Amino acid sequence: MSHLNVRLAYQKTGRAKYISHLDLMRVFARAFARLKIPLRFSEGFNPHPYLSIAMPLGVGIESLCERLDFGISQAINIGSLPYRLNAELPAGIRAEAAVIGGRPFAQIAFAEYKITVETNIPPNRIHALFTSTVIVSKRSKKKAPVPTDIVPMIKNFSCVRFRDGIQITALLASQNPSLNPEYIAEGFRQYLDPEASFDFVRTALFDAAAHPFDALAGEGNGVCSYPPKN
Amino acid sequence: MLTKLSRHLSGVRRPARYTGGEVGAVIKDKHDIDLRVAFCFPDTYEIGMSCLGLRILYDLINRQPGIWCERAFAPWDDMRQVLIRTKTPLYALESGDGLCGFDVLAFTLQYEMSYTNVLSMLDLAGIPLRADNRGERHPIVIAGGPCTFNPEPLADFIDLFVIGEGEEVIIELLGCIRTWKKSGDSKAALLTDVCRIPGVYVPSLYNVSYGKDGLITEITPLHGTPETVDKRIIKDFDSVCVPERPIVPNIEIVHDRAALELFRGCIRGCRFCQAGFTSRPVREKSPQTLCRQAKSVIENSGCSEIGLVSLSTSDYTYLRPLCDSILEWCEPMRVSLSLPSLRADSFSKELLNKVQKVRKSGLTFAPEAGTPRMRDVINKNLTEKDLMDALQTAFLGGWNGVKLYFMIGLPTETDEDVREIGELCNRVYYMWRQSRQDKGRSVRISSGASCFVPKPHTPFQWEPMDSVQALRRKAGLVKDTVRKQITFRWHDPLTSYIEAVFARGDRRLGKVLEQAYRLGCRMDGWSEFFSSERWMEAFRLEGLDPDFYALRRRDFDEILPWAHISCGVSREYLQNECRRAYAAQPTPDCRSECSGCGLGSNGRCLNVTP
Repeated sequence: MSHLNVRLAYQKTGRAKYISHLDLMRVFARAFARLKIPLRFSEGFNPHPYLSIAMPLGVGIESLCERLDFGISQAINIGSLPYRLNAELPAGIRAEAAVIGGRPFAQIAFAEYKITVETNIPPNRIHALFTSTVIVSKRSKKKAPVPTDIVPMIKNFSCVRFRDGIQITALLASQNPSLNPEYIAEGFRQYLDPEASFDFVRTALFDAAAHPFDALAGEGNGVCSYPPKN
Repeated sequence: MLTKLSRHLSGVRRPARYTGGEVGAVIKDKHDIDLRVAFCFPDTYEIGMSCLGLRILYDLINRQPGIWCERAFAPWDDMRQVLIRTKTPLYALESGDGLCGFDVLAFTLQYEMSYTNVLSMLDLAGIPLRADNRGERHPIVIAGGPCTFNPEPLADFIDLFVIGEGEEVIIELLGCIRTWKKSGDSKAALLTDVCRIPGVYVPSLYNVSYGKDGLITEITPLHGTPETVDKRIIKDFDSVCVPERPIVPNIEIVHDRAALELFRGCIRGCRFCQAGFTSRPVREKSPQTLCRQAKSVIENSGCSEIGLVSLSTSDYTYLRPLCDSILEWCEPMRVSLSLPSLRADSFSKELLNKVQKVRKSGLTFAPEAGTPRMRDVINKNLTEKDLMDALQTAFLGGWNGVKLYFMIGLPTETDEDVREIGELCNRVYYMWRQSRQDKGRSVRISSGASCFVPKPHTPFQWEPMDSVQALRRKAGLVKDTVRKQITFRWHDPLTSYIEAVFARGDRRLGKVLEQAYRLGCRMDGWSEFFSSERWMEAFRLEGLDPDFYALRRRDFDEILPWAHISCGVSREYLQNECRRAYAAQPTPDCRSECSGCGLGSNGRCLNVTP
């Protein structure tokens, strides 16, 4: 049997930001099952559908540019999929577009985040810090945390006053190595304001040449606006 | 609510427990609603969402126009502290509105150790704990579920209890509350009115008096309320629906599968099992209905596993044809079938093949006791040969793991009976060595012993529980007997001891419960929170002796705290069963021979004609 790979673009905002990566995989698997989408399953003792989410988000981070790949064993109507899916997805998960195929996730090199900070620190001080050296203890898989300068992993950094605080727009390295935006917060608390609180939104994906990763929905190509309407 | 809490939610464990927004959660327009109900589950979201009763009643109540039923669960301690710190009242997940603004809070009582969570939830909602401290504007606090067969320990806190199966009575009751709300009458008027609905028990309308020895001398109904409250059952169980749009949790819950209820009641009559007596008579759904509902629960939930649930699934009359027709469409959809509560004596190669068609699930048997005599005492009616045959089938079929459940502290138990639990596990191990298929693989035999807690409405309701020391010693005996290849775990006797106190407690325990809660007891079913010291302090402060409730043998003619609550099984029958237990005499199952439990002579058993 031949298989097709489908790529789904979706947003994860509002209260859905608290759904963890693994839980979200199950949420999608069940939504597909209810819609009778002919998912491609693994063989073996415990068959499971092939689902893959690019760059799993941390709990508490919103995103306007999520990508999910899954295999199907028979042709389906791709055009109507986001619409049908939205009736079966929890509050805050919104499917936007679906296409057959797509560039490999490995070609995602940078992700843009908008980080809203409640703080009194002026923008120029913040900018100065994150363009010099910021050492935080970075965790990695199965290893003890290592003090690391995160600035080389920040490709672009800007910040402006926003409502009662600051809004940072940062383009962060996303694969090999990758930088979780929580480290921006960690550095901020450590060097500038220990009391600051943060909201994170991933807004766009880019490849190594800093071009938009794909033409699917996301702020990178002007489809969405920030802040998202819930 | 969530906007207010969003700063804090990232800091608590599994925040998606507290956000709602699941597919299938019912959102109604408040303007169309004249009665707001919160179904309150006094444990975590993951436990509560696994409860079939919650799902059935949520669906049923929300089918009523004008009534909106939402859900609330007990928050984990981190979230509890966030609610207190941010002065946020406990809220329902659908609307985010605080529980204090609801008309009805409906608690389900599944387990005695969740009682402190009932108080905790009321407190977090800003509602006075004691019913007589609540005013006309506070919600009506009701409770149902298995523990209401002895509701007395919660009599001070709950306005009314619903005894037995809730599907019909909850709708009748909510109808009355709705009319009452429009009438503007007092809460007292409502309570004297609804106590006439069969199955509704209003504790404040009964007076309990005690003698010098602490025993109950009289239970007096006031204002002409019924002398006994008879449990409700659904006569036509085939008509009970499954939700068409079930809630699909966003996080993994304890029983993360679609559940299909095959029948209610149990033909067996195991003498320790409360549900076996209180849920009588046996009522099966037809295989046609079940086939249709199985398909519907899978298609509407998207689950990849369906569990056929009941008190003893292998006793369902049409189990084989049902499994066959479910598997016909399950298999191509990669939906696996699980059959919990299988009896070893009905386990066959055929059934084994069915449950492993899509995914191989675990295998669990409950011999309950180690010796044939002990199994006769509890009326388990299972021979060791049945168990060994079943396990041989499983091991030959390639299984390399099995779980075995036992009880320690049963009436008439000797050290020999206890050691034999260990020896039985060892024999299972030898059996595996003889019949294993793959010589390279090791075996996982895990056996667990829980402490026997005598429960109301069973033949052992008059029995003393074993002391904590005796139970510890017995667990040690098993531990010393089992081979090292077998994992042996046992329940903490301290928790079981408190469970035993409340299982057969009277309404004087209300003050102990409140005191324990004030001392910090909650989530008592979780070992990380349970504190025996705090509980003992609460008993001491209130001047009540827990041994009086847990360790005392009752006379057959003692007035038990639940004497006015009837599950339809006669006292004479329970006494007779208790005597037969002492004589290690088994009683045949209901299908082989009617044992005259009392439901038949009342015309309430559908399987016998009186």
